[in-house]
Amino acid sequence: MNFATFEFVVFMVCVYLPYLAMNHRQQNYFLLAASYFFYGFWDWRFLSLILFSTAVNYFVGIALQQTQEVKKRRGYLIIALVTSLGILAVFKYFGFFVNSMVDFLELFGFKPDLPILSIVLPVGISFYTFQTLSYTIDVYKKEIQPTRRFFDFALYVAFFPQLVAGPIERAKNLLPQVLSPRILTYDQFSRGAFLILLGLFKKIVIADGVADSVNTVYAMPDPTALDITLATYLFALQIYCDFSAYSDIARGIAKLLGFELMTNFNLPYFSVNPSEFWQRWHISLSTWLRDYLYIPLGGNRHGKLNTYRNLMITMLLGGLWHGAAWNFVLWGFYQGGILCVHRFFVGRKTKTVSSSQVLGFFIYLLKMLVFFQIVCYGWLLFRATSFEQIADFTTILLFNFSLTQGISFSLPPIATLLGIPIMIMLEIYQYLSRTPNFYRKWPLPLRGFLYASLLFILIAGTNNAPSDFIYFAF
Amino acid sequence: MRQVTSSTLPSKHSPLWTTLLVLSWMVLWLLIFELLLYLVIPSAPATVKSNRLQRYLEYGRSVEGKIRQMIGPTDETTASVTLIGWLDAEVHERGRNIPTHPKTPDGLLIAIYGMSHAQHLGRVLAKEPNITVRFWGGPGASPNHSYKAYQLDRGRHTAGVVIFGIAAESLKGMTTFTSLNKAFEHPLPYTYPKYHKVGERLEEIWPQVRTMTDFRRVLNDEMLWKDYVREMQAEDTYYHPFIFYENFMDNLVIFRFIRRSWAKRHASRVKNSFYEVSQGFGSNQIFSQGFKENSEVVQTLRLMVKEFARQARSDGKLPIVVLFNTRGYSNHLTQALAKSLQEADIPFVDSHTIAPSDDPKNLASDNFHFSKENDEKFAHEVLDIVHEHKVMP
Repeated sequence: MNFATFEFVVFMVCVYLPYLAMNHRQQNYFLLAASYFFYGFWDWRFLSLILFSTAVNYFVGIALQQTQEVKKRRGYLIIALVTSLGILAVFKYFGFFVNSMVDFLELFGFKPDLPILSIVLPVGISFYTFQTLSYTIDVYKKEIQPTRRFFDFALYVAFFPQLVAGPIERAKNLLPQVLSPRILTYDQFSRGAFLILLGLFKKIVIADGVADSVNTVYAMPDPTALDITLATYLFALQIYCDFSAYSDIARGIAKLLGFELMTNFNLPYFSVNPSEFWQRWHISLSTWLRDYLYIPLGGNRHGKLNTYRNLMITMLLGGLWHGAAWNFVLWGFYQGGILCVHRFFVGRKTKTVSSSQVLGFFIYLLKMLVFFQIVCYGWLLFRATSFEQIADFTTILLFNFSLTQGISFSLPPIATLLGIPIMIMLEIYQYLSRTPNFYRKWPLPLRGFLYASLLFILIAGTNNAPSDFIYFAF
Repeated sequence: MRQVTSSTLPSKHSPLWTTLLVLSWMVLWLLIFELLLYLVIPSAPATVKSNRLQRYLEYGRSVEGKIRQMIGPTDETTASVTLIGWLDAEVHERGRNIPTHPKTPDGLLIAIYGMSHAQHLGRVLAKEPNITVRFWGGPGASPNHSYKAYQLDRGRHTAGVVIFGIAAESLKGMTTFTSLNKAFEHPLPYTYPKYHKVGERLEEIWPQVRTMTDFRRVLNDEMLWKDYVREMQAEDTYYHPFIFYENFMDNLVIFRFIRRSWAKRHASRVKNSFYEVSQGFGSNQIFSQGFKENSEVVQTLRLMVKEFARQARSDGKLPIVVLFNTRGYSNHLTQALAKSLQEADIPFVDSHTIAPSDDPKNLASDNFHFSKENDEKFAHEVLDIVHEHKVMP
């Protein structure tokens, strides 16, 4: 069930009103049932996977608590890792690995007859797998106590607002909120409502509005350099507005239910370097990778070369997490590469002291703009449908760039063209005021104007062709 | 969830009062937006050409609201676009220069049935010195419309070649008998039969309205109008009361936006019944796309083109099918029909092999029709088939 649909509005009303009238335990059972219904709405068959993954990690958690023997504990952890990652490997990567193996063997003249299975990707599998794993690893590391309440643990895994596209919540943040009675405040309610409005605006007005232009260029056999540049800028907007919209709506709905989910995006396009970017983009994934992969690999503790190696491994696997295709691996390699380059230079450089504040501001702005171009090239790798397309587009951009070529695709619809500057202005205002609650300091008529503008353009934007959230595919 | 605490932000009002005030301001601003749009971009009468913004704000008006604005008691007071597309052979030929014979004794008359794409093809063919073109079609005409036009036109001309133009986009028209609801933003009243495949034959269902005169009569008679709406409810998959009936919502821009959005989603649900939309993203795309093999639309269309070819051959004419794989459909129309056409040995032109519509450079500035150069290429393909079958005198 997509948040941006009428079905979800009906679902939410049916869930929310009874929810408010229930006590804590009833709320948890009810939310769990609602979450399974929400997930089963796509394909009820995949509920068995989520149940299996929940059960394995629940029992491993309890087993880890009951024994202090290192070998046994390690064995239990391996069971959880193999089960969770095994499911992910089969359902997400099996076809990719087999196809890659066939391609590889064909390079040497072999004609292998390996089994090709067309397995449908269960929605949100990467998200809930990482979430359950974080619980088990934290229990193994004795950072949290396992819960004995199975249904509460199941709700932690399947909590519907963030089940299919994050944020990837840590047990230490979400599980206590499941276990204890929740208190809903007016602040939570109004902030939640605004997050939902903003999320729907970003998804429906902007992400869906620019999708057609982006898809057109990335399906063209010979676009011009200007086509590619503009479409890639639009894709940068699309993927940000799509994914951060999902997080906003998830956080908004969670707030209405009395939960606090982590912030997943914090103005990522205002970053001036890759390290800052990954502190602002998909924060729940980047911190997960940092805590459960990069640091266990050694992090930056064993010299520069090992640090670079660890960065590359982390980002390559982060790229592969996004999808079973080589362009995601390449994107991960690119992100790892720019992180290494940045780390290499940042270690040597002394801080630049500008002669004036104004000059400093412009240098900072310039860095932001330059780094945005670097991010956008990464998005080209991410959006491309094949290696050939990456090579073609890169060649065109490097050797055939001209501003006089004109564009071959149609511009986004009117609501989207109106919505983009509004969204950018809100982000700049948030960046300068350093708080996501900036609008709450505004006079009431101005707040009313903001809500009315967002709502009016949102309703106009509902005419854009609807599409699933991009990250559902991951 | 029992406890509701007060706001933590300083405010001189209670949180509830603040919320109510903000909501009141929001509603007030929405009313101001409506008023401003009403004053700055007033809606234009349907018979007058309107600008892009005016059209944008008007798209969501109900079908009934739009049609009542467009149709007056006489042709002079009626938007001219509503007068075209009717399958009335007498009216079609009357007062127009519709050729029944080639313009030169050694020339060839080609009869074309279809929509604007087919009409553009006809214009290019008509430039050939020995070729005369007889075209009958309608805006966005579905294969049902073209097939019936072809049948009604049988025996009224001496064409040696008959062309059946099919556009991928127009297949949606096969699930209805009128262009009223399927083209919500630009509804047109013309009608045509709906076909159902029953065994190996086509069952034809004509609506009660077949001419513009019929339509005017029905539109101005409450009882007849109700009957006609009932007919649409039964046979027009695009009909939905929320998008059809004129009411207070027609007067406010925000409600028109909502109705337009609903209409799009409704149309998309109908389309999903015969067309598979891809899912996933970029290289993660996992489902194939295209017309559904077992849908009634595809099954009926296959039988329809075979029937068209059989009848044309029995009349001693060369049948040609031109497949316009329009924007957004890749080569899916060809995928749905090519096998049937080959099995029945029906010559056809496939736009996708000549000019894939995925590439916007192959399209005209409206981003929908093919460019003139490509229309010329399609015409060239048609002429090759004509020469191959030695139809030219």
